[in-house]
Amino acid sequence: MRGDTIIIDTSREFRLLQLSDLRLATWHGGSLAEKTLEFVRNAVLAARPDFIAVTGDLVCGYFPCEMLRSFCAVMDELDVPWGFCFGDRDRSSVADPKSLENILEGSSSCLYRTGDESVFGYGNYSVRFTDENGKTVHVLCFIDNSCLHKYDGLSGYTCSSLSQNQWFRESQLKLFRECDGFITWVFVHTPLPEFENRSVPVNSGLFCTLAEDPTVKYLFCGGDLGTPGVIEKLGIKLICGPSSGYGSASGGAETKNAGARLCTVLADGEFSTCIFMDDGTWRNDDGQPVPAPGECHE
Amino acid sequence: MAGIRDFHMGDNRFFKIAQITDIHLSSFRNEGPEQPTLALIEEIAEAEKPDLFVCTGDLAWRHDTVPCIREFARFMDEKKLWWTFAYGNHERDYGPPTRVIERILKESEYCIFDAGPVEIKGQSNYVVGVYNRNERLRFAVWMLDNCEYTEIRGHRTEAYIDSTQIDWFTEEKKRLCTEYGDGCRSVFFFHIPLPEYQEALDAGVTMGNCGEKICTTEVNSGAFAAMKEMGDVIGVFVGHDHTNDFVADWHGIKLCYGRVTGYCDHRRGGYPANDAFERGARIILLDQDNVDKLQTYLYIAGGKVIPQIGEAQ
Repeated sequence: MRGDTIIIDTSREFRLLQLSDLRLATWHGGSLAEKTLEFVRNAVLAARPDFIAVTGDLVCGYFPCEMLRSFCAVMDELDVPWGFCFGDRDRSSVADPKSLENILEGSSSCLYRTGDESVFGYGNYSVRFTDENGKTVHVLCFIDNSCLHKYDGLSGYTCSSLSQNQWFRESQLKLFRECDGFITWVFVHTPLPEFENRSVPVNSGLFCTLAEDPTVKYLFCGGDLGTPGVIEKLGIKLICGPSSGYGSASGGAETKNAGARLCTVLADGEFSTCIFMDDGTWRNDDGQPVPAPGECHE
Repeated sequence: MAGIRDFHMGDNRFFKIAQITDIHLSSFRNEGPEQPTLALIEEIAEAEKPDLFVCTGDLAWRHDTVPCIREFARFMDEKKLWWTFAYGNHERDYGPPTRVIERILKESEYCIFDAGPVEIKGQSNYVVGVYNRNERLRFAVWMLDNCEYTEIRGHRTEAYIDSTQIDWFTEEKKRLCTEYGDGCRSVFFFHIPLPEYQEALDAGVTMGNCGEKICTTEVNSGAFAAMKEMGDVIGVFVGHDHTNDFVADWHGIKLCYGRVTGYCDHRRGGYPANDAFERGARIILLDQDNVDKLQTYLYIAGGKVIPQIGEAQ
């Protein structure tokens, strides 16, 4: 696996592709998984991203390790660096998270790391993008908020735990001592309450932690909310991914209209986003067709 | 000692706390509403005989904040009434330095107060320990200051309990468990309600009055989640919204407003309030024989008692 720092050409735009909720499984004889992997190939080739963020629910069902290996093989073939944060379906699959972690860490293109084991969850880590002089320009932070964190008297998902909020603050503090002027992107699976479609009963203060950090500009969540979209709070864009796969969570009927979100940030900081659809078109968050994003590097 | 001061219940089954709040003393120079307010506190002391008064802020306001607090402390000392204090928003409104207030409170014989660690936000962050008949630490009474306005990304918001405070009380609780064993339950007192009060109201699970908008922070810092993670918090008590006195069981923690105590109304320049909302206090019973069972009722001036959780004792 590569290290956690990538050098990019900062004279041109930075392109990040979000994939989410692929739910690869062997149901339907594996046909939906194959269809999903084909969409992933097409999306990556169309978007030409610098980095791919997979915001959870990558696998589910009874053969998650096999599915994950298939996905990693496709990603290694595409050879674009990518990161991953756990979703609830990844956790509720029959594989224990450690097995999935071993596969991720074995992928040549995946930058996933287990992270500090004293911090709650699996896979709280950062990836840095620097210019050719080593100056950090982007920090991509993955946080695992997919757990069923059962507080006494409460069931359901937690947003994150205190230890993760502390970890984020401390790791950013270390960065601030070394550099400034960078943008932080944060990736989680479960939408925070601030996404305004509550899927967690208790607010763990993760958004407050992010808002207190002036470098945080973008917060991505997975496709649990159903409808992709972008809202803004306290100067942070809250970005909900479309579902990028065809398998439903329960392994039942096929879901339609897979999408992958491309985000671009220009050298001057201007941000734009659109969604690549499985019919080969690009759409905005209102579902309206938009021109294909400009050409980027080879 | 577990806290800055400890109490010992002995054979008394209940540790009784009288929460007083939003007193808004503005001046003792004239015959204003200050005297009836102190008379009410004396009435509560006589009727309820609490082990501890807890003042959840807005004790005083206006330019006479310092003399008012001094006079109040003198009154409580004269009556030999133990009390603790957490800042509200109004004590800072007219700028007496908090170190001046701190000096007055610490010089008071019956006031239990500490500013707390300097590295954490706020100036009233401390804990008081309550031991049972076997001299085991059974209750931790936490006082927090959540009234320093916070600016976050250029946006000024009602104060919240910030990460320094959350880290402090969670670590302090671990220390208490290490030194004094598990089995201790926590109750929290501060001025401004948590956002979870609004959630409880929206969910329709409150009991009691909600006479005004809940004035809480726009940014949820996760203080309630931290309390859930602690695992031993049985109640949270606040003030700030004068005609609210409701309680709610929110995910296993009792969220409670106090009952406004002061007859002074800061919105009317310190003159008596012209509303008909009866003044009083919230009485809280901590039961050493059933530490998870928090009971609370309202004491209303004149002697009326309104049970809300459990029964009056």
